[in-house]
Amino acid sequence: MIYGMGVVRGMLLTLKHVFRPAITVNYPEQEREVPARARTNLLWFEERCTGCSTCAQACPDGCILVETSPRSDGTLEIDRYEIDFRICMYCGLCTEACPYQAIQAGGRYNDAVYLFENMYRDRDTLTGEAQKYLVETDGRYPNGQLQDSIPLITSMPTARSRVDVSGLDETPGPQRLQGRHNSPIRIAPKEEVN
Amino acid sequence: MSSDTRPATPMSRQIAEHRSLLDRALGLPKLVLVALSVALIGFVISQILIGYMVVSGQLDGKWYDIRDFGNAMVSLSDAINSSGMDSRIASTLTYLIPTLLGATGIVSVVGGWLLIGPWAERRLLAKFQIRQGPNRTGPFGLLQSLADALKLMQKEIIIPRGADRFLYFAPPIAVFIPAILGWAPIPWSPKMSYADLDVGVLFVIAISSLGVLAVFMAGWASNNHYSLLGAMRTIAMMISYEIPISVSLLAVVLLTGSTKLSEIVMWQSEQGVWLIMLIPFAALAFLFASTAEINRTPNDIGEAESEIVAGFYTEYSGMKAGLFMAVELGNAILVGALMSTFFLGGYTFFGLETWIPGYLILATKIGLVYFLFVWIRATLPRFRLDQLMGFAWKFLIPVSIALMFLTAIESSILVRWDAPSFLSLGLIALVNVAAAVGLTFVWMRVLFRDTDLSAPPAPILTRKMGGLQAAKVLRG
Repeated sequence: MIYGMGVVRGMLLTLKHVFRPAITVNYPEQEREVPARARTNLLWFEERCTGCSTCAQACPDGCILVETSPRSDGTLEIDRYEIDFRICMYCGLCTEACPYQAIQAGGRYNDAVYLFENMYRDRDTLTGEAQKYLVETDGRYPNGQLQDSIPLITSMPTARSRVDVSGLDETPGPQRLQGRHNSPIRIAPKEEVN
Repeated sequence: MSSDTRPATPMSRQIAEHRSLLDRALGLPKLVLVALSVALIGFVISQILIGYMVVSGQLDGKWYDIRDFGNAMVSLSDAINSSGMDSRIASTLTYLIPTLLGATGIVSVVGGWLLIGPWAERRLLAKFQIRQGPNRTGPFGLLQSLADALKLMQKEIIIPRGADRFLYFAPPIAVFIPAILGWAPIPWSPKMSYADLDVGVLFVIAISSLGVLAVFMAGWASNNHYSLLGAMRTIAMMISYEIPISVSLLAVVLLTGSTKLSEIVMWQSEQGVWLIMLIPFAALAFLFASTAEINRTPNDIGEAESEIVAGFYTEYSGMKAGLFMAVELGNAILVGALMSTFFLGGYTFFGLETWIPGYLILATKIGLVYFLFVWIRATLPRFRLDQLMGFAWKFLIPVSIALMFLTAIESSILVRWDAPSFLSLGLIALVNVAAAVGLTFVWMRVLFRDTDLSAPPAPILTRKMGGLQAAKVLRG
């Protein structure tokens, strides 16, 4: 038994760390990857929305405002769709409630603003966010569906289904969208950097 | 896509895009590269010329011999003395100018270190903990300590009610007295020593005791029980650990036969051996005791930042507390310098000091000792106060004194025995190492004779009936 060997062993162990690269992520210059299904934010997809305002009813804070007016064919014209992120607590109940998954959890996480009022997002801002997200993910929604390959069969016609589905013979019924269990999310690898 | 390759993420792309330093250097404009290579060739040629001058002896003792700034001072004194001035003015000038220049040098070394030190320590500590450390303020975060100091200066000065104002304001400045005065006898080169005292070792020991006074003043003048208790704890620790330091330095003095620091260095240079090889236990005891003396981990219970509130300077705020924290860094390199001078050969490195300025060698050694301090800080946990005092009084002091007596016998033999130095010194080293290991072993056995070291101690209840059994018994 030699006294002090434990100290020597411990010091050699810590010395090993000196030669390892730091695990720190320097945030503004480097960013950690966000999991594909991270519920970072709320995205509202106008083309999937029927204006049923289920989300507004489900919201415990009452921060979603939907204002619609009926069209002649029975569908709803969305006049206003606004989310007040100042009081939103990101509980995600609206995304659970939406029958058409028109409001989904996802998107960017760096949400800080200089003016508090800028956290109130109206329809144009929300659509801009959603379109920016779809451009970044090559038209893939947060729930894994592709923008182009989904037949948007809905009980109430949306802006998209009115255009695309109106000529089909199928009777409009409840949508059978691909769920999470049978559409594993795949992110295409970006081109390799030499 | 195969499952083992992860999708490309922003992070992985940034890592792939990151170029090495050499790549970035080669990517510079042609003109810059040409200029750099010309500068490199010029540097090499100048070094060859300097080497020729050193070998031919043209440089020895000239004022432009920057291996030793003492040469310039000697030339200056000669010039003043031969200029035909009044002899009183001349003697005053020859005394005054080197004094002021040397003091400026020492103060700027310490002050410069206080600016860079916090950054260096934090970056190094971060390396040990796989972090980055401060890298935001200025280039590589170098201005971090400046920012810290500015922040501390902006803070409100709070004086406790009933505090003794003079005694309260003096300590933050008084702690710097030993940190700066201690540099005086340290030789940086053969002629480059601020005050090469004949009683250098005594001076060092005396100066290192001054820090205790500042600590006690701080604890007393704060008018706070906890400050006073913290001061008492720190003082007990510092005074206890002054004894191993003195005994270790006594062993050094016994072997080298001189209390003059430059002669201690010269002895090591002439014998071609460092004292840490001859008296390793004294060197280790000096190192460990100095960490207690300057309140560094693992012996920083006096101001354990993660456990208690600042100890004796609890009542100090703003820059006054900052000065207490800063002096720790200044003390760290002072101890590094003392350790290098006494045990690591000082400014000499087996003949290399002819080619490289001695002060650079000493600075490198100081840096290495400082690295060791940071390494210890990153590794070892903090001692409890009773463990610390017990280690000093029960182990370090008796063993140090016994080994010091052994060194005394050896040195008296060394003086009388006319043997080749490698034989006698090698024998001394062997005997000292064997004695240190054996004495440690025996003394530990004596100390722990009642403790069963093979079985680690466990709580009595658990040892008697085992954890679950004990729980059952307790439940009834």
